[in-house]
Amino acid sequence: MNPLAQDAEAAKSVLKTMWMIRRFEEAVEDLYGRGMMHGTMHLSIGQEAVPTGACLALNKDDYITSTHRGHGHCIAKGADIERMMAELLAKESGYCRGRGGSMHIADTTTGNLGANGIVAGGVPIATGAALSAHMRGTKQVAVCFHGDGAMGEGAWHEGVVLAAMWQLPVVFLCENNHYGMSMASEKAFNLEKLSDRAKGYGIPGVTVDGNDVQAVRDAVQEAVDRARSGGGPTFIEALTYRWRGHSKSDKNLYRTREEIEEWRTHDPIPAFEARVLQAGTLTETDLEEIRNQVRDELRSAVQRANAAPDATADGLLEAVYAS
Amino acid sequence: MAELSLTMPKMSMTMEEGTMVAWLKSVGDPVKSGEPVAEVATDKVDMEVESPYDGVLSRIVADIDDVIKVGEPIGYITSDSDDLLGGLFDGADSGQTPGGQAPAAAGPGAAGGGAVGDGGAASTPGQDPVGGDGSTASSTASDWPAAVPLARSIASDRGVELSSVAPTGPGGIIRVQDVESAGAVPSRAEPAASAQPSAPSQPSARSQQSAPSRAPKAAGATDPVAARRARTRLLVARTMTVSASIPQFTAYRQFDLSVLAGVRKSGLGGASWTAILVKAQAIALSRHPELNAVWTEDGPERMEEIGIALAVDSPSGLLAPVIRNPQSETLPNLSAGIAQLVDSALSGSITAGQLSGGTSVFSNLGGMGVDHFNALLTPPHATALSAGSVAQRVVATADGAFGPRLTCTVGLTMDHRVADGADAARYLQTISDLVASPDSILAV
Amino acid sequence: MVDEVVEGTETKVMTYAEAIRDALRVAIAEDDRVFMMGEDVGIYGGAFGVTGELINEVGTERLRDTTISELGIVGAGVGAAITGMRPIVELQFSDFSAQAMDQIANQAAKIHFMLGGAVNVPLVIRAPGGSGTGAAAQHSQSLETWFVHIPGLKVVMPATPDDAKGLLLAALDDPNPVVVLEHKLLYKTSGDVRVGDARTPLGVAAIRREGKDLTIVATGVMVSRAMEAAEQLAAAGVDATVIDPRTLKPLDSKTILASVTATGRVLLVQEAAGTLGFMSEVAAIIAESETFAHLRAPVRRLSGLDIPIPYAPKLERAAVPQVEDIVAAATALVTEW
Ligand SMILES: Cc1ncc(C[n+]2csc(CCOP(=O)(O)OP(=O)(O)O)c2C)c(N)n1
Ligand SMILES: [Mg+2]
Repeated sequence: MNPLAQDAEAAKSVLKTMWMIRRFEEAVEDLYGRGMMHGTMHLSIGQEAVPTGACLALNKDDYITSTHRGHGHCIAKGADIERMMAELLAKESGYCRGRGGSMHIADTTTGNLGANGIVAGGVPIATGAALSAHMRGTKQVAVCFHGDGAMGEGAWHEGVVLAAMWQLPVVFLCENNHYGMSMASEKAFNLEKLSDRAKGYGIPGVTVDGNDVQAVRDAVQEAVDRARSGGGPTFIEALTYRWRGHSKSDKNLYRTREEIEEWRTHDPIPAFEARVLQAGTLTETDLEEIRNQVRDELRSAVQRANAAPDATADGLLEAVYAS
Repeated sequence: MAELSLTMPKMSMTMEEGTMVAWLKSVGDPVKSGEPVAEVATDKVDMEVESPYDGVLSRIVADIDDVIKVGEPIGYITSDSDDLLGGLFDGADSGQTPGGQAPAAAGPGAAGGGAVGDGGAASTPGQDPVGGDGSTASSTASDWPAAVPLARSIASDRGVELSSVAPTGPGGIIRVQDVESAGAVPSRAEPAASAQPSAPSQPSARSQQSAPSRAPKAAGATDPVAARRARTRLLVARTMTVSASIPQFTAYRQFDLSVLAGVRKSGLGGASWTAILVKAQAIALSRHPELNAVWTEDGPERMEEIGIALAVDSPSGLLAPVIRNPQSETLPNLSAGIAQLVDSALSGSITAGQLSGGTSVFSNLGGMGVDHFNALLTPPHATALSAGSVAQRVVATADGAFGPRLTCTVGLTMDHRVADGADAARYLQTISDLVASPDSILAV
Repeated sequence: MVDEVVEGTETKVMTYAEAIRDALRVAIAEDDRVFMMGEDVGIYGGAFGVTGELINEVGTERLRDTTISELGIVGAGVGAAITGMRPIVELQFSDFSAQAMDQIANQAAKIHFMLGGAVNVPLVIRAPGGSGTGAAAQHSQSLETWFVHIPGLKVVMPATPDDAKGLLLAALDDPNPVVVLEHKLLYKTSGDVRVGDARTPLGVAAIRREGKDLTIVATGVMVSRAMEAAEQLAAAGVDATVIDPRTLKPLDSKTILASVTATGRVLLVQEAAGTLGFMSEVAAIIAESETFAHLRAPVRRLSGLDIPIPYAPKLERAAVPQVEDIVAAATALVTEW
């Protein structure tokens, strides 16, 4: 498969996406800290390579289901960051008109069927989207992002069982960031690799370095190609790490500083930048330009989003049912 | 070898019968346990019927397209197998199969009420609180003024017609204040009493359920007789307040009881004056059936039966047990019956049934030295009779002489909507005739 | 009625979360059969800090961290309960009872009955509900009606720190499955809590305040809002009784009916959506009782809107009753009627 680091356009796109996810979440953290943001938030800083790599393998009309830690999935699939930010800032112009917030952002125009507040809630939904693609005779594929913790849920099991039985075009992409909140995945599951579980469901399973955007892209590409050509579902475990706490209330008591520091040295973004430089595809100036461009875009998105009118309670009662 | 039945099996929760689709075996074919022998259509899908036994299909009793109830035989298998439950559910007892009988226990309504209500929410499953007596049949929205429940009960306490009250509540609904300011109501010493919910017709039955926090103070929570008396007081107040809105008048007449007095001790076995007068009253009502009536919106309505409500001054207050059709009782019986009723009233053992069915009232204060008085009507009665003392009084006789005679002055109160003064006079004349020549009173 | 902590009892000021922790500490110490399991209840200290550092006192055997498997842990609780243990299951959010509903509704609630009384299910399920934290539609529901509607379950909603402890201990004593619905906004509130082994009996309402003009019945976080509203009403000359049922099932309807009989006006306040909410049942109980004849005003419910809880702070506020809504509704009841 084509090495991303050796293709200028691809490399730019990868870096833009990864930086945008990172910057977006840093901005969220900042806004939250300033008391401008409400509720709870789950940051995926450190995990950017997974959604970025995965979505490179997808067409615009392919589906994804996302999670509570879903900003990266949303951005990588092509959502408008201003509307995302507006949602988090509880604005009428947000993706959900301020009704959903961080945990419920969806952008159906880019095939994002939604973040989910329910762990593993998206698993059977991805199976259903794949079933629908199959029945409608399209070539669409669904990628189900989920965490390691989600694999403790009955919904995960049931969604995978159905997909395997019907050989549906779906990829179950586990972002194993090593913890489900405070529960270490090693402790939770008596498995060397979570992908060992795939065998029990009769589907292919692989484990890849989730901080290597190339590795993720390649694994997902293979799985997507198989799915598109009728070869059924695949389970992929992408090993990564969440730098921040589970949410803002996390005191990180279940892991050590050292462990966090160690993982920070495996930052997926500089790693890829290094490869690009090494390959001579882009120059340091190019990289600087990308970073600046992302920064400027992000800043103006935040500014515009914040200036937009607040969500209103008008029509709330009518919002419940479709007409 | 026994012939065991192959029955229509229950294959889904909702299946009650099945349609024969096909026989997979013929008579004489060997069958194995678990082997499909027939196909049936259930309410959901077509299913196979498996043989429960090893053996030979000996008979087929259900043909294709027959609809067979679950549990009924569709064929027979001769087999060495043990028919574990065979015969258990045949014959007369088959109705005892599980699900065959509904438990006679309290329905879910009763159970639910108890579980949630803690007794406080006395629900009465199966009873229609509004339509039960048919009284709502003629009620329409327009003659049922909108009022909050407490306003309604205060209005009824005080005899205030809700339709005459100006509503000031939201949506034109009558509030408590509206009824309270409706005027023409004697103010109460005990305002809380207006909240007393007890239905006066069954004071004892309701007393336990009345809300403790609002029981009238006069009731004194520890004294049941006093409590009952207080409730009776309310009942009388309520009834008489309603009575006050009825146009009524009283006509008096003095009766000469000398003839009756002559036979009372001898011929009548000492029947009480009350029994005698009640019987006279009832006979007179039977002769003036237009007065044995109640006033309704459509005019007077005659009542078939005669019931004389006898006012009794009991420890728990004024009670009026009803003597039914006294005109057809012998005086001794009537006398004894009255004595018994009065006893019950005095001992507080009167039942709600004994308080209903009256069409007129007889009230006697003679024993307490009162010469004459007018009784107020008890709605919906059209008449009431009041008797003063029976005593020797000096009267002028027909020949112009003066002489002592045993007399009693009786008042007849009449609902003027039902009848007029002359009607009252005629009714009194009848009683006068009856006591002057008491054959009918003495007759059975 | 245990309205206030009885005088002379030793008390300590604690938060609602600390009071629950204290109850867990007491129960685990006094009964070897008691243990609690749930997601992140161990070293993390609970998503809302309820267990805190309890793990250091009681150890991982009695305070068990689980995988994210709500159906599994409630089911494991059922299994342990019918075989001699006294399990407590913490659901991180009451919303996730949806995952566990089979074990709650079809198993825990029915086993005693279905088996003809042969076994008991002394299981306690703790779960925080309610809105106000910006956690949006899937983390903010008030689901008490789900449980109240299922025969076999008992349901409590502690509104004060003392009740959070007392009701939990009483729930543990009960031979039936008890769902304890805590409220996220209450965890940090504090108050006097009886020290040691102090139970609040199930099925007994608390009269939080007595007044003659109207009765406010409120559950969960609405109790403190009703109390605050009652203070404001008092300043305006309206004297309200506030009743906190505490146990929704079995409900102490006597206390409610007696109060409504006396005041003639009732305002029923709940956070949950109105349609078929718990307060609809209370309204029905009033309508079916003799108290009905004492009503000076229609029974009024003040409930959450019939919508999922929105994320935006203003919208979220608008979705459920606030102090000013209670004041307005109570004032209207008293002045209009
Ligand atoms: C059904 C359900 N149970 C519990 C939670 C609370 N919760 C939210 S995220 C989370 C941890 C999820 O872990 P994982 O799937 O590994 O995703 P990560 O947070 O690591 O991205 C938990 C327990 C939830 N949202 N839904
Ligand atoms: Mg994880």
